[in-house]
Amino acid sequence: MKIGAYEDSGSARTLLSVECLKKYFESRSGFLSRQVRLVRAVDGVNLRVFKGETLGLVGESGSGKSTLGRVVIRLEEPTEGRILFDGRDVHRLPKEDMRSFRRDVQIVFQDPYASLNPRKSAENIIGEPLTVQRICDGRERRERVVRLMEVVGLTPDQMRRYPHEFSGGQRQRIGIARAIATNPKLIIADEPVSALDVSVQAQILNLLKDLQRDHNLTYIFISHDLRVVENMSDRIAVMYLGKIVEVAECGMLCGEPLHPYTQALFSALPVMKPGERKERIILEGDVPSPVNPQAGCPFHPRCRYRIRVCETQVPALTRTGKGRSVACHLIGNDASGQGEEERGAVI
Amino acid sequence: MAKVLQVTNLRTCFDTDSGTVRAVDGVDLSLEEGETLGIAGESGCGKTVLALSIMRLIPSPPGRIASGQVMLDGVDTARLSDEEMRKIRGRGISMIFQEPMTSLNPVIPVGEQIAEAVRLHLGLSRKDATGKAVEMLKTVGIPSPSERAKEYPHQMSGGMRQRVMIAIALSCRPRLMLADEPTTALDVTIQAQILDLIDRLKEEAKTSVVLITHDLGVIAEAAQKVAVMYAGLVVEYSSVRELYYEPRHPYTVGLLESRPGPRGKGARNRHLKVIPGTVPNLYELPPGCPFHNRCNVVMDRCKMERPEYTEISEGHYVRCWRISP
Ligand SMILES: Nc1ncnc2c1ncn2[C@@H]1O[C@H](COP(=O)(O)OP(=O)(O)OP(=O)(O)O)[C@@H](O)[C@H]1O
Ligand SMILES: Nc1ncnc2c1ncn2[C@@H]1O[C@H](COP(=O)(O)OP(=O)(O)OP(=O)(O)O)[C@@H](O)[C@H]1O
Ligand SMILES: [Mg+2]
Ligand SMILES: [Mg+2]
Repeated sequence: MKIGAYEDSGSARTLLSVECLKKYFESRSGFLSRQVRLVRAVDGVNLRVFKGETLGLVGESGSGKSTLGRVVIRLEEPTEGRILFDGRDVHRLPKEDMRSFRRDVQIVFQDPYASLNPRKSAENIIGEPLTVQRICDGRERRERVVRLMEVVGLTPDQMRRYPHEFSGGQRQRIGIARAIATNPKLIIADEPVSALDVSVQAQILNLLKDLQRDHNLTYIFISHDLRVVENMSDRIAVMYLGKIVEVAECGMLCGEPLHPYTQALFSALPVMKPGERKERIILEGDVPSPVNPQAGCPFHPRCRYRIRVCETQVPALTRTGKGRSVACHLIGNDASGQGEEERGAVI
Repeated sequence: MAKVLQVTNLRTCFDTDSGTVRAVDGVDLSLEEGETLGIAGESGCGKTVLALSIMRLIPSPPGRIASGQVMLDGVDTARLSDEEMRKIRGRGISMIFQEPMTSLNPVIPVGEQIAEAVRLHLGLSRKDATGKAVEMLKTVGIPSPSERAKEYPHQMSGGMRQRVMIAIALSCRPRLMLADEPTTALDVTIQAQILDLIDRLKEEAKTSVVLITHDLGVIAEAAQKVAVMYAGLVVEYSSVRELYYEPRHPYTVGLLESRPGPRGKGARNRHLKVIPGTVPNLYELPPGCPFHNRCNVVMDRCKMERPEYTEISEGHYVRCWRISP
């Protein structure tokens, strides 16, 4: 596929660029089975992330959000395609650049219980990247840890405590302090509040907002909670079965979703207004599996607007107007004046 | 109208090595025919224990119902024999559990499991029950139901398993259905399907529903009454409309305000309102009101005395010294 037709805002603003990315896993159907099946976790993703923005990534369970994040920070090798960070191919970095990449890109995980080493003190968990990246050690490291703990709203006298002595929200603060320890440019936040008590989620979201403002951070914010993503993001990308089906500025996407799947997603969202029952689009069927996907548009088996071509051809992510791209035959074929050369646009 | 469920001053404790946990600590609730009662509250506040107490399914030891009364259709369940209670659990009340995998038998095809329930409770023949099972699978929206009936639970997705559970629960047309986080593990589009289903079948069988969830949005859509729980207590109970438009308890107010809503411009840069602090550990609850150390309108009295459960307007109950001194 041709990559072109970038937004004219230009590549100077681009921090991360994901190009035709595929990540397939092999999975065996049973313990004894020889049959190996291919899981197309990420299946041809094009995406750009601009400096200083928050890009929200939403989609149902298994749609490939975490896998995409893991490939970006090099926890996984891509099957195909490439990722450019600050213009350089992440998976082909020379050794010395690798070190700075590890510093620049960090991840915050969903489960603050599982993601922290239970045998390490808060000080060691937060300070570890500083030692590993040979940024500082000893007394200097301790001073840095103290400051980091203050920044994320922990008290430094809790430094010698172990993860089990902290609440879920505090553990997530430790995870965030560790992630910002190396002064990163990009943080991938993979469901950072999903495991937290509802009354604690807002505290962590506010912390992420403050850090972004104070440290000029760029976020990829992964969540299945649309309300949270809507509140946090500048732009939102919607994933379905390993593909991006729509990406647009937050207000546009939430106010007027175009892709039939995005529409269903927003209509399924409960509103907090008792008595004001809205019409819901109830999708037929289940989320299909990324193993041996059907031909055509990944969404066509559940789509109420499907036409012939949807069953045979995969629609390309196509720019439909300023700040929005959609992968849908019905919308792509719309007489919006966008020519064929716009196809495959990455925004 | 007859009260299908009436819970009075219910207390359920667990005696553990590190002390006694008062998981449900004096709960009053009631539910009328055909209504849905939403129970909201954060992890560990006692929602599941409350549901299990109503079903008389608390594992004992370590658990015990320390006091209180559960009336089903005017009958005090404490007066029933185990045998009678078992009958009620089949025909009168059904429960949908948080994780359907734990309550489905992994080595029996799902169709047979539904048929078994139908046979027991409706007294159908084996053949008729099998037919009814397929019909139920179809009703709950499972495609190609006669083939699917032969599958085992692990061959189905979470959403499908949850629908099988609902099929079992509803094939007996229960008076009361307790649904414990029936959609929490599911995607929103599947959640919409399940809620739609509960609603439809509720209309058909006039079943009353207790819907447990931490998602206030789900309750706003699906319920008529709502109880907000905090640390083993119901802190506010009223009609859904009144609770959402005129919440009174500071915890309810905080929860509603801190939830990100549809945003206006610039929301990314604006702070969300927060409830400071964290949910207390039930082993070391502060004296007085369990919410007092996070409350923005706390008074001295709140630190000493537990607030009483008071009716502040018709059908609206609050546990707060500020609201009802
Ligand atoms: N290491 C692996 N081996 C085999 N399959 C995998 C592996 N990692 C992920 N998958 C599969 O890839 C698909 C995408 O998974 P991924 O975790 O990226 O989804 P997700 O969108 O993050 O979902 P969730 O919302 O549940 O976190 C799933 O079908 C998953 O089972
Ligand atoms: N078998 C048990 N032994 C000891 N304590 C228990 C037991 N079961 C529950 N508890 C305690 O009772 C309290 C209430 O638990 P419950 O499962 O009702 O919470 P919940 O509101 O359903 O939470 P969640 O939203 O996480 O499901 C918790 O503090 C829990 O630790
Ligand atoms: Mg994930
Ligand atoms: Mg529970």
